[in-house]
Amino acid sequence: MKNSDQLVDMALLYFSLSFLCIGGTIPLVPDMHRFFVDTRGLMTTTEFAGYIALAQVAPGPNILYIALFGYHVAGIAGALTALTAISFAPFVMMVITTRMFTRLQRNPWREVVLRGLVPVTVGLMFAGCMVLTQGFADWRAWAVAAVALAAFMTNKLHPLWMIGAGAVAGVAFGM
Amino acid sequence: MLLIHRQNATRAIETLSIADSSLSYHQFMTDSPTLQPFVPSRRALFLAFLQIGVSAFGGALPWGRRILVEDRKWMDEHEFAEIVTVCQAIPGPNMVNMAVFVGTRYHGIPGALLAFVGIVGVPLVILLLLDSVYLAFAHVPQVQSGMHGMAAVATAYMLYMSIKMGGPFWKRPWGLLLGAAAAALALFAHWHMALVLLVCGTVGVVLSKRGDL
Repeated sequence: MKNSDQLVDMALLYFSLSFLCIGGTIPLVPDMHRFFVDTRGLMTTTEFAGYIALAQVAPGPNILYIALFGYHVAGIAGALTALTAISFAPFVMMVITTRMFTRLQRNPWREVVLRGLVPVTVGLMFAGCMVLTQGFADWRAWAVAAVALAAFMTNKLHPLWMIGAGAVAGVAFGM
Repeated sequence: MLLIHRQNATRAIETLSIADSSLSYHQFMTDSPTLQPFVPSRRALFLAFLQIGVSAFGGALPWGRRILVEDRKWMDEHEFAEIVTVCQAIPGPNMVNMAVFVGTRYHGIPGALLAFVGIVGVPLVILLLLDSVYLAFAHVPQVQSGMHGMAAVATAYMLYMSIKMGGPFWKRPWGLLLGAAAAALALFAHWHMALVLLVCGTVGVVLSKRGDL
């Protein structure tokens, strides 16, 4: 398949997903994984998870790994296309929302809808994590992830230090 | 919010004008320290979100609060929290939505674009540079090992965030069941997210309306 076709398909994917990314973009991981790894074979699961990790190490809002996926499909144009497409619906909706902020604040349905969506979003985030574990090579990756999860749960250590520690552990154990 | 402030202010003026009839509405609005209609310049807007973007490691929200509320004082704690809840209801990452909100509020759509580019632009360049460094050394086995370790921790971090976000729902059986159903449909039935959100989201809103969530 030609590169430009990939670019158009990716733009369409992100444009449609941009309407759905309630609670951030992490719940989109299963859908993105299907596109980039399962259907198109543009990267492996480990690469896919690696780019997410790389974006965690860098500063900035956590949609930037989406630009990184785009970059690996079609270079700078891919990165900008992906970022623009995923931002389209949120941008337009936020501009409209800002103009009717006070009205929206008083709408009793806001709380009801938000409460109803949180469990679904959390479920999709969990599914995304499970998709990423498919890239775990062996028990060592599971062990590192388990230790990291325990550390996240018990202390407020900054994620950046933890990811750094993960890199050290990876080298030390030859993962 | 602002509207209520204004109404209160008008009422306050009415009471004040009994004491001092020379005090005009205009004077009251400009003299009052809390009601000053401050509008940051486009440059200040861009720079504020640029600062949030480059300082935000692992979650931009705490930095947004620090820079917008504590340093710049463009809004108070309460208003920040209110805007965040609205940003959560709209698709997209909270802090990027916040950038669009603040940008639109002060300078319309051009302001929104400026704030958006501010928060995303420089971090994007940093990330692409980091990525090319990684690619240049990707053939080194140790770099691959390190990447595997980082990926494992990043996965754990995502799991931690989902556990934390679902916090209040774990004690409610319906919430747990709904979350599990959404996860299973995405993982095993390979449903697209739109369908999961439509079906489970509808169930969720009905449950929430009935007070079960």
